[in-house]
Amino acid sequence: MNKGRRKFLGYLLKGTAGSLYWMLPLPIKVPLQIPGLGEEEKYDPEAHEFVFMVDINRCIGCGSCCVADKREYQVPDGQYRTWVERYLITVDGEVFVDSPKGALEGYPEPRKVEKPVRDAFFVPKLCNMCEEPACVQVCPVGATFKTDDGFVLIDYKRCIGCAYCVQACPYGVRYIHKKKRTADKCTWCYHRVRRGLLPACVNACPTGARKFGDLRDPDSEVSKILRSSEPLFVLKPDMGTFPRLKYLHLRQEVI
Amino acid sequence: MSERPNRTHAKRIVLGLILLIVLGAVVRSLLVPDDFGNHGSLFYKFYRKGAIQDELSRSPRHLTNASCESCHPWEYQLQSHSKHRTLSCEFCHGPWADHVNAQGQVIGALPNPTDKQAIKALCLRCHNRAIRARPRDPKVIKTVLLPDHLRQKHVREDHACDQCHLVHAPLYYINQMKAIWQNLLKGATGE
Amino acid sequence: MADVVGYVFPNEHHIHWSLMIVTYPYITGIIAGAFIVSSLYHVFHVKALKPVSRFALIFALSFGICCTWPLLNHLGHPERCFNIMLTPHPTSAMAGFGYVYSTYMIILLLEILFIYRAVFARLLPQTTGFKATLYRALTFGNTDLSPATLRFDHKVTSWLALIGIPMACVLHGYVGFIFGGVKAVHWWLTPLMPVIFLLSACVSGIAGIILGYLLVQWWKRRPVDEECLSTLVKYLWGFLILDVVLELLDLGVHAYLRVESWHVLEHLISGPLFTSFIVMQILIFSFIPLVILGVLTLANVRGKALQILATLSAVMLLIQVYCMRWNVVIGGQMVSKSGRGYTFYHPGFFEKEGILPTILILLAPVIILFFLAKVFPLWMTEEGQNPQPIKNFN
Repeated sequence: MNKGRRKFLGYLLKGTAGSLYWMLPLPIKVPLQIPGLGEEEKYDPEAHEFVFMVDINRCIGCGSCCVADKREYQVPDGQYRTWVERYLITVDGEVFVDSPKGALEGYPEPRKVEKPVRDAFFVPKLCNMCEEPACVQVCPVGATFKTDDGFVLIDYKRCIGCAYCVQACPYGVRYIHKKKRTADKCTWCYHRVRRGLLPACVNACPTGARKFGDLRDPDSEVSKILRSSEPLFVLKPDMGTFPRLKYLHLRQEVI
Repeated sequence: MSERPNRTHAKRIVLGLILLIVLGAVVRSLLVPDDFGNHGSLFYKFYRKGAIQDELSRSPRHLTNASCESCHPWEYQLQSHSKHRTLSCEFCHGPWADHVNAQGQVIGALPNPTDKQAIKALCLRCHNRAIRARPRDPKVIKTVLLPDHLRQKHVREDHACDQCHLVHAPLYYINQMKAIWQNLLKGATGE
Repeated sequence: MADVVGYVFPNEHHIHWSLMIVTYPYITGIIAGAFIVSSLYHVFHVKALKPVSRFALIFALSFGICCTWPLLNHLGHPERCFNIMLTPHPTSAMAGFGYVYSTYMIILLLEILFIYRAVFARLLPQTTGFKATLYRALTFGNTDLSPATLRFDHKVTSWLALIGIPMACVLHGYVGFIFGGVKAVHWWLTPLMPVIFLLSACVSGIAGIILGYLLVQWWKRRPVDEECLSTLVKYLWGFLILDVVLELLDLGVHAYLRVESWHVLEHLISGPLFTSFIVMQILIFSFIPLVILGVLTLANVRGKALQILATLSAVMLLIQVYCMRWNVVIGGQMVSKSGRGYTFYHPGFFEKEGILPTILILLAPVIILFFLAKVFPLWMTEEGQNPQPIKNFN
């Protein structure tokens, strides 16, 4: 009986919530990039499981993603929702990392390293969308939260701008937005994804180093990778945050 | 024991405190949004449901390459069949939202980089071999070293990239030239 | 504003928790410490502290009023500050602030009201005008001075002080937990953090009381109660020993375990934090007062020497605790989460969270104390002029 009532309440809630979720407006009709999304009449957040994957071996450090991101959100100068790091590892294990202007201008100059280089690669960084986000745990006013489809979002109307989440994020992706004076971070372009578009950085990536998709869709690239034996890593697993951002071919030197 | 203490002040203070708590509770219930609360987990889903709608009310500023087709079919056809098909139009030209509004009216011209230096900077973002860390295996893109590439191709060193490569389809002229050359050769041998 | 060594994440070029967040635990520490001084008298019946027991409470109140100022100045949206009480997040350490702070302030105010009710009732006949109205309001209409009522007030005060001690500990221990509970910052991550914060709070509070007491007595050209001062010095020494031992224990455990994070912290201590941590906090402002207070206590020094050396060590310890707050708050943010670099922090003088606002916020409690002293007689001696003899009350 109890179960039946809960189910009924569930339908009721989904019904009312679903009506809000009808067809989000797009400036023009475009072919959608994420199959099934944007067109469905009622969006059921629990029927989707989005993951972001970054293939280190495919990133060329052009910084298109960073430019697209900055333009999509008009991010203030000096603050970064996403950035690309350049790693150079010498034969004796010394690691050189840099990210001039967060790779907004790409990497116009090679980095001079005296010793012979063993490995060199680029690492794009963005919000890890943790399963157990430290930033959400510490927010004193409930202004940041995890949605049912797994996105960690910010309530810009309730954030008091205390910056505790900035301290708590192990990945340094959060900042206090200069103009809004609230916390801000990468949202994996939630507003685009729900309209059936790929995140702006994925859309801009020329080499397919950034991949985004729904794990519940067996034909999506990400679920194919997940079913393959490709090595997948997350950043700082010892933080116990269980990131949903996975890296392909990540090196252990990357923090 | 013998006399009882006068507790008037304590009673008044306690009354004041109770009033304060009640007042606080009333004000709190008035100020907290109805959709605020536990939406599945006190740990990670304690929030205002409307915040999701707020996030969704953002309008995308970038669209897709396909969205440019209706007005720029020529460029779109060129680009979507070339090596550059994975590039986003909006990367070089700026976001859709600066160009067309939600009603489909053109509201501003997007930048069209044609300046030699601008073209070179855009091309070298990806194709610069001098930068270490470009992946070699798997071979992701073709990179060149300047000015070696220009020397190799026997052109002047101040040549801009787009003098040989059509930016939307980099091998377009080159393939055309190759085809013409093949035809010429064929013609020569056929005679 | 900030310069950088090595590689830090692009968002870390800006230190988000600035001087204001250094000042905030400093002020709450002083409140907690001062309250504990008054509780030593009211709950633990350390009779020697009677002369400063009331002063300590009003001292705590005046700092308590300013406690939220640095926070409000720091918040991106100070107008939304009440969100922390409207929708406190159940899992956030910081969410407790609103309720912990208000509860503590209410208990402090109640204790002050119950202690001062009789004082006001006694002073009422001699006062006129606005002050009389104020006194009448603060007695809550009860000017009864019968022994039974006085005993009742005393009982309530003891209970309030009893609740107040854990509250003061919670108020400040939890500030330590805010830092100690951040797993992403190795410099903060230790369960000792709340205890260290609490002990340094006691140190700064007692040092503040000593300094305030001596300055007021000198200014008013009144004799200093040596028994009281010497007791304060003993407590200060005791808390300082615990504080320094725990601070060094925390550092020592890090250094001995030599886990991955230590190799980052090592460079922090020897680099950007060397002057403010090793030189100032430990070598100068901990060890010298430790020796001075030890000598004062063990040799039972009295007279002018006691007063001067006590003042000196109180000032040094107030600086030490400020250094400690700086080294914790700023030091933790100096280490990049990339583990490969450090950000330096140079606060500006006139900027919103700069040095000038800090000085103003730290001066404000002193000014408030000055005005509160006009309403609340701070010293028992001031009532000596009272025609009615005072006995058996608090």
